Amino acid sequence: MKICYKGGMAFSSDILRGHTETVILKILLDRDGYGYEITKRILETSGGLIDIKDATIYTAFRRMEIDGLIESYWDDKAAGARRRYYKITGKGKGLYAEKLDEWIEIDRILNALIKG
Amino acid sequence: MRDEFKRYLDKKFANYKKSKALNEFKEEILGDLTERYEDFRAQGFSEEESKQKSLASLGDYTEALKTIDAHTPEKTAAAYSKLVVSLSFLYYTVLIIVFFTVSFLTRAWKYTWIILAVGVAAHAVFMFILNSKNAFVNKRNGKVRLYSFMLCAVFVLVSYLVASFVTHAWSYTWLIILFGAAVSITLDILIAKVKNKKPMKLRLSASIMLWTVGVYLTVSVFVGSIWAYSWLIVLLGVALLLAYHSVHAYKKYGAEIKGRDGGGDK
Repeated sequence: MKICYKGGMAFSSDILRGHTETVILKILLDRDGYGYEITKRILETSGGLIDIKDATIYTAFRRMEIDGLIESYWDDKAAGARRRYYKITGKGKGLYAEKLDEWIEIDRILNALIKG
Repeated sequence: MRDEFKRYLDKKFANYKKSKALNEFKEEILGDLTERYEDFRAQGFSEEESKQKSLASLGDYTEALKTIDAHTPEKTAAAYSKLVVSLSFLYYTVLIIVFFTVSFLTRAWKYTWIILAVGVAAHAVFMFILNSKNAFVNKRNGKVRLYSFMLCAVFVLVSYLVASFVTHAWSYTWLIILFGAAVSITLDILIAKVKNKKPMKLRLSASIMLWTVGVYLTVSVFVGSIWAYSWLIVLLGVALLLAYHSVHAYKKYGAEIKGRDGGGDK
């Protein structure tokens, strides 16, 4: 587990636990992507604080593909090395909408509990 | 560096069952590793540093591998291979039935063998095409079964033709085909045994039936005078088959029933 320190606060990829799939769904909702690219987008969006392991992404991909939330396809455009891209399915979009509502609720409750 | 990563991954995954899904997974990781490495290089890290940092970013991918194994590759390949072998058996059964029907109806034994020759050749071409499309990736067992089966078919056909054209005894030589079929199925069961797999009930039944009918017809054809009694052999074969199935069913369900009774005593 990689822990980044910034301004005295410790962040780890642990805070994504339970939300990895939702985060991936959100990223794929914007546009199709491949493993490393998604890791980079998470790193960028989190302001360089969450550097998730490739393996975590791959594991999530496999599980989500089995569950029918995403689909993969090979892109041969790049000369020499082809890439496996993932795209979100209708089922994935539905689950994302559900998870988003859920998150808004959790956010509201935790804010009330922690901030007071 | 891509080649070096490839060698690294080949070594890392050497102990896993080879499959299309695994190869694709490796290719996926390889692409990500290489790109990450190039990014590190672009940030000014040395080759060695970039390599180490890239590999460190991989993490523990055993979970992802588990889903691959349980999901698509091996199981579908095995099921596919089984399907092809079963369909081949069915194809040969139909081919032999057609051959005998046409031959006995037309009595043109000198020409009807062409049905068999064309049939065997068509099957061989079909298998060759399937194989070239890599339908049997990793399925060495399926390959051994099919090749031994096809070898048998060609061998039987050639012996039939040689025997028939040399002796001109067309009214007897067709028995070779029947026994050839019996031998090839028996051989298939033996291969399955060697590979430590339980032979399929269907295959055993087919071989028992074929041997029985073969012996019946041989006795009848060669000892014409006992046609009236030789049908007893078929009866014996059927009895043997029923006995086999009964024992099999007892072994399978008997223990289960006993186990359930024992559990009830507690």
